[in-house]
Amino acid sequence: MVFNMTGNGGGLNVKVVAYSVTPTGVAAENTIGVVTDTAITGWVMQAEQPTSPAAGMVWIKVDFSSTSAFYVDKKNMIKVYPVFAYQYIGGTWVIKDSYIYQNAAWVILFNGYIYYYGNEFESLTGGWIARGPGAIVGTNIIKDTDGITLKSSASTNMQTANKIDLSGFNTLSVVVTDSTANWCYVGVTQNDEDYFNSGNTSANWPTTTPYVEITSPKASFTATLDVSGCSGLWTVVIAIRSDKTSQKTMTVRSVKMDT
Amino acid sequence: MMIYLDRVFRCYTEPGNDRTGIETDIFNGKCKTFIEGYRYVPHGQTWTREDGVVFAGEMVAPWKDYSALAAAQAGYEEAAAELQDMQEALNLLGVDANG
Repeated sequence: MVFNMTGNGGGLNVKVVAYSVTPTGVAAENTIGVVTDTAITGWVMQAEQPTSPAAGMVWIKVDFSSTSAFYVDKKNMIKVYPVFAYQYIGGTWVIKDSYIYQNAAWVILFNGYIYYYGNEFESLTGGWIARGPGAIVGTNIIKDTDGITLKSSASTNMQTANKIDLSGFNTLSVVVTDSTANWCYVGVTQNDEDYFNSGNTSANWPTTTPYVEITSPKASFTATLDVSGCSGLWTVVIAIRSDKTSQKTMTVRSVKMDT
Repeated sequence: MMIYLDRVFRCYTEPGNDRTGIETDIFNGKCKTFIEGYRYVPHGQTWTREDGVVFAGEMVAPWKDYSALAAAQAGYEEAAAELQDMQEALNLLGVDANG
C-alpha cells in the first residue's frame, strides 16, 4: 500500500517543525523536530523519495520498523514508522538531524543506523574518526555525501568517536560497495588501542575482542557481527586490509544495529 | 589449544556429542568459563541464528554476556597470579612443593 501524507498535519496526530538547534521543551505528542536553518515549505511522509519536490520540502521517510512508531490518525488505525528526515535544498535531498516528541521527551528519530549514506549521526556517534596508526580523515578515510571510502595498501581503521550502547541489540551490519579489499573487518571494543593491522591481525586486535573478518569480499557485501553478548558501551571499528600488492579501497554505505 | 564447537559454533573445552574439535590459538590463556561463553565461526563456514540472520566466518563473538565472561577471566588471572607468587616464594625458600 502506498501511503502518502502531505501538508501541515491537519487532522493528523503529527506535526513537522523546524528547529535551529536540537529541540528542547514541551511539544505536542509526535511532533517531529527537524534541525535546519532552511524554512520548511511543506512535508510528506512516505517510503519512497518524492519525485517533484519544492525547495524546502521535508520528506519524512518511513520504513518497516522504527523506534518511534506511532498512530498517525486519531482512531489508531494507521501506524507509521518514521526513520529519517530529509529536506530538499539546492536541488538535492539533504538528510537532517531530527527528533520526535513522545512520552514527554524528545528522542532522536532512530531505527538503529549509526551511519547511513553520508549521515554520521553525530549526536549519537560523535562522528566517524580515524583509528590506529596511519589512518587520517581526508587522506585514507574519504567522506562523501553518500559513503565513507577507506583506502590502504596495508590497513586503515575508522571508528565511532563515541562508545555506542549495544544493550538490547543483536546484530551489527555494515553495507559495503565498490570494494577491492582483500579483507574487511568489523569489530567492537571497549579499549582505545585495538586496531586491525596489516599483518598478523591478532597482533593489535585481541583475538577474543568481538569481530568478523571477511576474506576476499565481493565488490558489494554486508558484513554482520553478532553482538548479542555485547551489552554496555562499545566502540565500533571498521577496517580495510590490503595484501600489500596495491592500494585497495572500499566504501561503507551504512552501519546498522538491529534487535 | 584444542577447542570443540557444537552445531551452532559455541565453544567447549572438552569433546562431546556433536562437537567438532578444532586447533586454534584464539583462546590461549583464557579460562574455561570465558571460552565456553563464546561462539567461533571459522573461515569458510556460516552460522544461521535462530532469527534467520546469517553470519559468515571468521567471526569471534560472545554469546553470553561479555561483562560476566570478562569478570570470570579476571578472577582466573588473579588466581593464577597468586599461585605464581606462591610458587616463587616456595622456590625462594627452597621448598619443593611437589615433593
